Amino acid sequence: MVNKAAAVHRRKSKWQEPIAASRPFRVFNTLLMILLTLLFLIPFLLVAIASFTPEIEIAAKGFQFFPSELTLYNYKYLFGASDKFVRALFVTIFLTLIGTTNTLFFTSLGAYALSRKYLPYRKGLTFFVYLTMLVSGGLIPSYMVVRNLGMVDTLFALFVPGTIATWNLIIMRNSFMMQPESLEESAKIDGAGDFTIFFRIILPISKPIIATMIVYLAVGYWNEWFAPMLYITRNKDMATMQYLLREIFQSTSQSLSSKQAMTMRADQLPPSQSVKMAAVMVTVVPILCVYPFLQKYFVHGIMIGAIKE
Amino acid sequence: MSIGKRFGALLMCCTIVLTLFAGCGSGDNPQPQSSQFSSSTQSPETDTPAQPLEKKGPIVVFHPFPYNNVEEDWLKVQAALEEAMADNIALTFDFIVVPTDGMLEKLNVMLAGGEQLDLVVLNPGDADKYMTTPDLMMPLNDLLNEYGKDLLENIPEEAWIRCTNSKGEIMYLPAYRQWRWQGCAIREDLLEEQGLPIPTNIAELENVMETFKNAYPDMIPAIGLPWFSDPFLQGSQDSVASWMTDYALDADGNVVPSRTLPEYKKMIALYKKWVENGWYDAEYMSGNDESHALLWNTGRIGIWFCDPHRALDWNYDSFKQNFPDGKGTFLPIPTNEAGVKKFPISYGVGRVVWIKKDSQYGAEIVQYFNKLMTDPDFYMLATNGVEGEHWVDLGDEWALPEGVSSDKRPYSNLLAILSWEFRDNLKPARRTPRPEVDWVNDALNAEYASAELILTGLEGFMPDQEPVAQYNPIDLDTYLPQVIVTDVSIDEFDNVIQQWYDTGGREIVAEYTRQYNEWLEANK
Amino acid sequence: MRPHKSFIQNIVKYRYLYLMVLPTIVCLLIFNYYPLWGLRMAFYTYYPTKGFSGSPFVGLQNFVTLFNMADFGKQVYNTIIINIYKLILSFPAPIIFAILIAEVRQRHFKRAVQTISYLPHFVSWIVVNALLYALINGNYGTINIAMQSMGMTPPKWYVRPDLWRAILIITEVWKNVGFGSILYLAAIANINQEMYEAAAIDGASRFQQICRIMLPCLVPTIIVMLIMQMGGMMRGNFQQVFALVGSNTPLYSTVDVLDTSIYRLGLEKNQFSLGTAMGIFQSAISFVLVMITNKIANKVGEYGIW
Repeated sequence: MVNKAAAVHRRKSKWQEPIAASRPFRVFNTLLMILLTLLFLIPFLLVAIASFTPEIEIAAKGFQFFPSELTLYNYKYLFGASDKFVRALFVTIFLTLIGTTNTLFFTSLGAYALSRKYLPYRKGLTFFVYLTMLVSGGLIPSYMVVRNLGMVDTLFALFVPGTIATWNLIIMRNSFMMQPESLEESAKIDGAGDFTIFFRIILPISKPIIATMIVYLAVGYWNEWFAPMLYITRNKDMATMQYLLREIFQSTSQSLSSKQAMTMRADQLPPSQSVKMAAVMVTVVPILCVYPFLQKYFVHGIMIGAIKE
Repeated sequence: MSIGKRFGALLMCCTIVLTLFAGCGSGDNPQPQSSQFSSSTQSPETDTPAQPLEKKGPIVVFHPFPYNNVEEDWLKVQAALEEAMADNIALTFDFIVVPTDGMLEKLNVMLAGGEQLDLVVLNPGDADKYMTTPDLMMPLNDLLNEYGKDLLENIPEEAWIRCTNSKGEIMYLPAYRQWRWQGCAIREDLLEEQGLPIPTNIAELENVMETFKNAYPDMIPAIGLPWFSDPFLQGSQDSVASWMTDYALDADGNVVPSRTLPEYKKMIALYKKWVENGWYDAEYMSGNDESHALLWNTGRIGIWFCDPHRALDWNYDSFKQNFPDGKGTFLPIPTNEAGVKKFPISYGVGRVVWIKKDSQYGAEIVQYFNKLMTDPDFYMLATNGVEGEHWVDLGDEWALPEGVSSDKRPYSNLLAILSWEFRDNLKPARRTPRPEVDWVNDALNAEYASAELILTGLEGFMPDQEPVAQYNPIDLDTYLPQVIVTDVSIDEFDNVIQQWYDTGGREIVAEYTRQYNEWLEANK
Repeated sequence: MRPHKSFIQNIVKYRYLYLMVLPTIVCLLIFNYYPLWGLRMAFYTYYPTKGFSGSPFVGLQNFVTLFNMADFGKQVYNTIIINIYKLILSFPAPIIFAILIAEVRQRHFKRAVQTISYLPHFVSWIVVNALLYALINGNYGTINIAMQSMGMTPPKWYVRPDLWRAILIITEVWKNVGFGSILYLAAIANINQEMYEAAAIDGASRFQQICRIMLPCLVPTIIVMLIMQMGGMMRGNFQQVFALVGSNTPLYSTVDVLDTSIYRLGLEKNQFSLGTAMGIFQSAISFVLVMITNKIANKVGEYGIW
């Protein structure tokens, strides 16, 4: 009996099973999890090590886990040789901040408005939004629109077309719809206007879903490479890191050519393989450092979205 | 302050910051509108007492061959050129320099978006793709007759033929170089180590590859891209078909893509044999000049189908760094069974420029190239850069400044765009001799001049692609390499060609043949 | 209860809400609906230099050309078959992973595994291409070198079209299994624990508990996700294919999908009209599929969008 009480007590916590699976299975499961974790990590580890490996060694022996020599040369080359990379880094950071804020602001506003069940023409408007997910104009018409607005070769082209993220709008709308109506009613009685209700009441409650959206959007903007490829031709200053990374993979010397690069090439062998890996690391490490701390939010947000009361 | 107001303030701040940022981002671009009025920043100094002309332009130049040119340097050269031209042509430039990979996409996006473009620099093969777009290119006959007489006189006829369409309109201005750029480099030191002579035909070459494979297991015996290897090898197979030859006549007198001829099967079979024997890297198509250069410089390949200059001259220093005792040389053209060397006709046109039809500066552009042709100092400036900074005048010769080696030049050739090597009116433009690489050019010229020309019979004829634009047969570039590198039998080649015919090729051939016969009639 | 007022009165009454949704409307009009007008390019032979007024109207000619295009059938086939493979392999993976994760009892270990499993989702396909390059590149790839040292001859990955559908699926699983499992874990956590206890008392093993309790409770979520996946049958993963395959032509016979073909037609070959026609084809079929599957989803779960 005592055991049963203890078992019941354990069961109360959400993540523990009442009866565990058989021991052999649990051992197998743990091993499997370790294996999977390694599978997730090993490619990154390889690239990380390669980024510290001198070019000549990669050229001779390929990418390896235990090079005979480690060096910081690749990173020095990347940052010192050409200001292109550093500039791309700043552009990407800036774009992520501006883009996420911009999209979040307007999308959440629209989502809130469409979540009010009493809004006339709501169904029509929602369909208006939803339809854009199904049909699209395609590449060239979109390019022409951006061009006619004069945004080609500016930073605007990279985030303004994405101001409204329709999928996120729908999710946020559903999430707002789930908030109890009593909140709004009592606020209205107190004389609050729509904007006040949104910013002061609904938003603070919706922190999980907003946090989830921030994560989605920020990751999207950080990894953006297609928009620069399409819209940025002349103004190389507007290249994002992922786009520069892609160019580096096609031709390192052309992408990073500069006076400093020429003076830096002490060993005469223009570094390409190792610098590619170093560039990858620079794009990945910030994400690596940030996302574990945001985990709480997006996990929670997805859960909220998944569970329909 | 309510949250609403706070948000509003934040938004305003962001907008302001953004505008500033975007403003300075796009501030570098000169106004892409044609301006007939002088720009206030330029103050041309001229020797002549004549009034400086109003600045024209800027003309927008699409240039996808940056090599290692550094922006700040070419802007300096550009300013010097504009100054030098100020008193007679008065052209100003706006260069759009993009990486070579993905250049066509960038160009297409610009064309589709209606961006202003005046001059486009391309390989002749790529330029041909745009030849048939209506109202895109400006025919240059009249302009050349008026402003480009020197160009017409000095550039050989064969180069102009390459640039002329079937209606007799000259559509491109060509570069022209005597040296052939499709060849093969080999590690001579490894040959000597193995006691082998330089191979002169296919059988000997294969023997070398087999020896390399066995003696050097860490090395891939041979690698290359088909636009280098096909022309180099086709003579040995008596084949008129190659990756670089667009059209040829088949046995029935039809105009067909050269690679659909049955004799191309021999070439494919050759490569296939090499891949199967482990002599030729199966992944050759996924590399590029840069990645192959790395392999050469680190001793991972013994035979490299490429522009021999790349292996023996431009990469000389990097190679020597790793292999001080290493030695490279170029292979002679392999002979056919009768012992004859053959090489396809190469107009020596490696690059062309075309002028967009709606450009307002066609005359000035032709004048610019004409001046390059006639004015040695101007050409020197455009090719080598600013004197004192990019090169040093040594009286009879010129040399690179201290500490700058030939593969680390921050500026070379970009604004010259077209180069003509046959010219003898230039100031002796010989740099300080580097015997270890200077021999390459003349030796290559001599070698290729000694070969018999392979002619397709279609010289002077350019098919007009517009009537058949609706037909989209399978892409030979996709399917033919598969026959080489995958496990299928060589007879798959016949299936591929048959498929090509069945999916629209037949109609294309019929149309081109009809055009050809018309052209024959007209030019009797 | 809908107020039966006139249009103007409605706008005025709820003006703040309409103000909120105004940016949405404007933005979508400009960037999503206006380009739709550009879709008429598919009915012309469009020459950018001449614009619409100078380009000839050809009606459905482009679609006829499209269906006769040699590679078109192949591309449609590739798109669908890869999606089917993904349905069979890549779709269950997060579910199985979620179930397995849920069985892990050590809290910190579980947390660590989950955190690490999310990492691949956050990097772009270009980074994945870089990782793949480090592994299977012909000259420097680690897997190749490892295979060689074990005496095996590594395949030439970049010229083996037969291997690449598998590579696409494996990389997609690798990238999405962690993040995709969150949804299922949420559903699992939502299951009433009492049911397990009752089953345990009745003598059910853990495995039986999973099969008979957990899975059936997951079924609604699974069905809804499945249906949404099927709606996307005609759409390939452009980012993935473009980043991993790029212009490696030997691989096109097995992995070239409609999306990348549209991109090439438009941007590399300048055949805007044809590319737009292909885009319309793809959008039309996707539209129909999504409509159908959404109706079904509405009936089965509450996941209908509107």
